[in-house]
Amino acid sequence: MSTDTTPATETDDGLFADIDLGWEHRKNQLFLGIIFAASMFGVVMLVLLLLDIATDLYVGLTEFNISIVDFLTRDGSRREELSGFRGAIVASVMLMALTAFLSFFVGVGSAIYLEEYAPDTRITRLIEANLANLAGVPSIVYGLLALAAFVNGIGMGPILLGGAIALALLVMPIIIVSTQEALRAVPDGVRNGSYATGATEWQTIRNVVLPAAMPGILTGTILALARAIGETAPLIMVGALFTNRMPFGPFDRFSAMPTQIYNWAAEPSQHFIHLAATGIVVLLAFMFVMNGIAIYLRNKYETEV
Amino acid sequence: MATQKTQETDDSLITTDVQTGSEDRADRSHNTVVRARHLDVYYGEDQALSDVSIEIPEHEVTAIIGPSGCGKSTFLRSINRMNDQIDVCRVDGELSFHGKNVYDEDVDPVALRRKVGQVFQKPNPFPKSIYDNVAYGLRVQGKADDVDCDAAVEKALRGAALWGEVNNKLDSSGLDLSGGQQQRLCIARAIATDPEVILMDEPTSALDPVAASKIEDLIAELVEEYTVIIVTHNMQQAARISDRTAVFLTGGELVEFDDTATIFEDPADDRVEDYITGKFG
Repeated sequence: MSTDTTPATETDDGLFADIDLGWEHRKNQLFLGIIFAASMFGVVMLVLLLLDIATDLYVGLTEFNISIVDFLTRDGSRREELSGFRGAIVASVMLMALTAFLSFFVGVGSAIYLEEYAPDTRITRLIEANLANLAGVPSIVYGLLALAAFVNGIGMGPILLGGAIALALLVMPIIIVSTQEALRAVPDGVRNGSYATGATEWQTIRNVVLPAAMPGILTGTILALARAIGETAPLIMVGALFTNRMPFGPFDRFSAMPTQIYNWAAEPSQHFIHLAATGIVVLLAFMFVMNGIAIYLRNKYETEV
Repeated sequence: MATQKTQETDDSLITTDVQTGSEDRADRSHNTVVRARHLDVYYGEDQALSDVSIEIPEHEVTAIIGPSGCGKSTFLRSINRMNDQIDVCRVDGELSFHGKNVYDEDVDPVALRRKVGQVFQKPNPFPKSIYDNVAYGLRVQGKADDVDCDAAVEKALRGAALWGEVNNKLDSSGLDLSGGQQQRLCIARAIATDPEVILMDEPTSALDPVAASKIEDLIAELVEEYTVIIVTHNMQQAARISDRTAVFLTGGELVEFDDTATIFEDPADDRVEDYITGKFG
């Protein structure tokens, strides 16, 4: 057996002896190492961040006797041992619901118009270019706009609706762009099949295009809302600070999760700092759940169409 | 009111004219269902069809053959105005369906497409169940409440020779079928609403030979009830399944239109003979 193999190997060695790939393979390994380190950088940072928060949470729970149940069932307070997160959680959930309501229909509607109806004219291209610009505007600018136009302009005051308008303006370009991408991913053959069956444009969009694009639209919307739930600057601009009571409707004053955390973190007392850490854990939990739903939807439907 | 009457008279005149025309050819007693007169189609600056005149008879299979880019598909899509979907497309001349120019102001392309169905080159079932795919046309056309939807779906699937393969899984997605089954599902979708004309744009070019021959058999049955106009790349297919053949050549010109046997055995035009015998194209 060995006698059979050895001459064959010798022939192979002879066959490729003139090609030296050693250096090329080392370069390949080196490049692989660099890009792997680059991709791990983000993961390491996230782990460090989570560790830091977990430590603060642990210290808060043990040394400052923060009770998770009390934390979730009490509103904010000037007294640190009585302070909780309930008002902020409720405010954030209401904000998300209002923001989704305000931005989803307008955003999806304009995406449908741009993608399915609008002729390819200079005006259409101008709108699309400016949507990309809008998506890049710093969030605090939306806060300023809401402050000037709604909170002060029409005398709305620093109420939850004002914050929801600021956040809705912030996420709308993102929703429009991701909806456009979802609509573009629906194959034209399906549209033509519908038209050729004698369907009108709206019947085609309603019955064929939207159902096929809906997972993509929902994923984009949820990811946009997950970004909005952590936004602090626009809420500070509309005055969502120093409110400890739980809001009962869109016309109440409020402080959402990120602004409450911001508020606590600025306090000199260590107890408040650890309340902030606990709040961050709750906020991150909300974000992870929302991202998880988005990933679930994407995986569930991505095999179709 | 007066205008309306004139219109009606015009239409009936045209129809009579057509019937007289067909009586001349006593052996072909069929009425003309689609007729083009000096039809030009442009995409922007490019002319895709040039002065096409043709009379396509009822209840026959008319094959349209020709080399790539000769305007076969353009002609097919101009019959049911699917060309309207293309912004830069412009149509001159007349293309009439039962004597009515479909490019008249008062013709709604959606209504036209309810009488002229289409099957595409690539099978394009909707991402819905098999049942919903077939019932789609009935629903969008508002017929689903008037007719027995289950019976109509079964009839269409039987008509498309697919019933036996799918009758126990009507709820599963149309996308789970094989390519050939998907194409027959698309044919079922097209015939479920009972159109008069079915346009087919290379319906077998994306299929394997076995699936293609099933579609060919099906076309022979469909022509009992419908008028079939089929664009094909495959000359053998045109020879096998069609009653008439139209040959388009590069430049969007209709070179010859006659009985399939005549086209393949004794074409009048030398260019057609060259094309048929494979000298070019």
